[in-house]
Amino acid sequence: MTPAFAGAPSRARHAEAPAKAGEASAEADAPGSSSEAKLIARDDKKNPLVSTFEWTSDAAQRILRVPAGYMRNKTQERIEEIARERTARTIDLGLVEEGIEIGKKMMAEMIAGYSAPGSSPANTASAVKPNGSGAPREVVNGSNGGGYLNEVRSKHEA
Amino acid sequence: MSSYRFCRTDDIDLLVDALNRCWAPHFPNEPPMTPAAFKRSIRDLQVWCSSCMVAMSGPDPIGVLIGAKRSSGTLIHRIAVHPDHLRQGHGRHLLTSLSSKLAILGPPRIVAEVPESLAATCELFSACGYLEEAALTDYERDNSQHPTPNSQGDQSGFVIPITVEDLAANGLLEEGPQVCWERSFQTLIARKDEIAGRGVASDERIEAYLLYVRRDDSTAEILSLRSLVDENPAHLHQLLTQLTAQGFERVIFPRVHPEEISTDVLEGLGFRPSTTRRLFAGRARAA
Repeated sequence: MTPAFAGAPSRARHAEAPAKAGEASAEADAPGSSSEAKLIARDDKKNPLVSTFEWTSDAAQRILRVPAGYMRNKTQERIEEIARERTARTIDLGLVEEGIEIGKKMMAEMIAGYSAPGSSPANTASAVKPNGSGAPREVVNGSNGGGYLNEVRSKHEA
Repeated sequence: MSSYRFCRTDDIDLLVDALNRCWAPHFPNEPPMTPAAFKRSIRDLQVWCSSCMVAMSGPDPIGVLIGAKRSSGTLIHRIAVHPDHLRQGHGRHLLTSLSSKLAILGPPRIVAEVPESLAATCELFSACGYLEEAALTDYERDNSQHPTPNSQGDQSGFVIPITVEDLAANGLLEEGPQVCWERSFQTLIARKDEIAGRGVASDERIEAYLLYVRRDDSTAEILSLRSLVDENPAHLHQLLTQLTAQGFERVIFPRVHPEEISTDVLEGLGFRPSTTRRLFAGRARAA
């Protein structure tokens, strides 16, 4: 795959197409969405890093140091979301570190939110979704399993 | 006249019948054994029919031994003699027969986890040359004594959901301290679909984890509780708080080996010892 050229002919071909079709085409051409997932690297336990993005070697090595499983999956999702918003085709070490730092910031905010007077479990059972600049943008509920669990949820959690 | 024989995989019905005749009278509060439950023990505990024996008197089972086998050794999972046939040497014969077989086929190590309250069974193992290696302690924690704190306190990691597979992917499942047979990594893998977990993780490692199953609406049974950072009680407390918050009024942590986690740490976390089992160990030898 040659990311620099992927999608360019497609955009030109559909330049005068109806808006809806044009949107669909743009979406298909977005970085990390049109190409198939492929094996980027494996950690020393042979766990694979599979992604639709290109990863620099040091970026792949860094994310492979994140514990495999939930933690790594969530970190990868966050990093790829940032890459998508920035239309980056290649994930480098800086982007990985940024994704990790955002995760830490989300965590700190959740703990602070929990400790704050008057905070309810419902409020603290949430995670902050990053925007393109890396700053917290919106609050999403963590009850779907997407959030961390330092917060104490209501009884009989699913 | 009594006869003894090792079993085969097509003897499950015989073994179930033998357990219900010989084991059940000693433990009337336990549910009867069923073929499905026996097959579950094959899956979860690696019970091997060829390591199981039945003593017969005519057509009736009068004694039974259930053995589970792993590369590390064989567990005498259950051994029982019908109440009408006690003190006739059947138990000793079952044990020595299995020992003779394992002396040839291996593995040579044989263990049993016997409730301390079963004095006669403990005596049988001692008399057959087994040595007590350790005491396995059942611990309980009354969560009503440890309400959910208003502040999270010392939290230096992320609390995340964790699975048996996650732990295996990080190479944490097989390494670790000695644990009882029923909470070993082989059993955890076999039961992975029914096990829930929580972990404390940093961006570079899992620092502590807790695996558990729901016993009933108010009780959680811990299958694994480990801190990978110097038995950091803060992390373990953080994980136990999660169980309290889920509505579990009571937490049990069965058959804890003294090398698994220190008594001081457990008691500091609010666990109290209840019953004890003796871990007997012996070497297979020819009769």
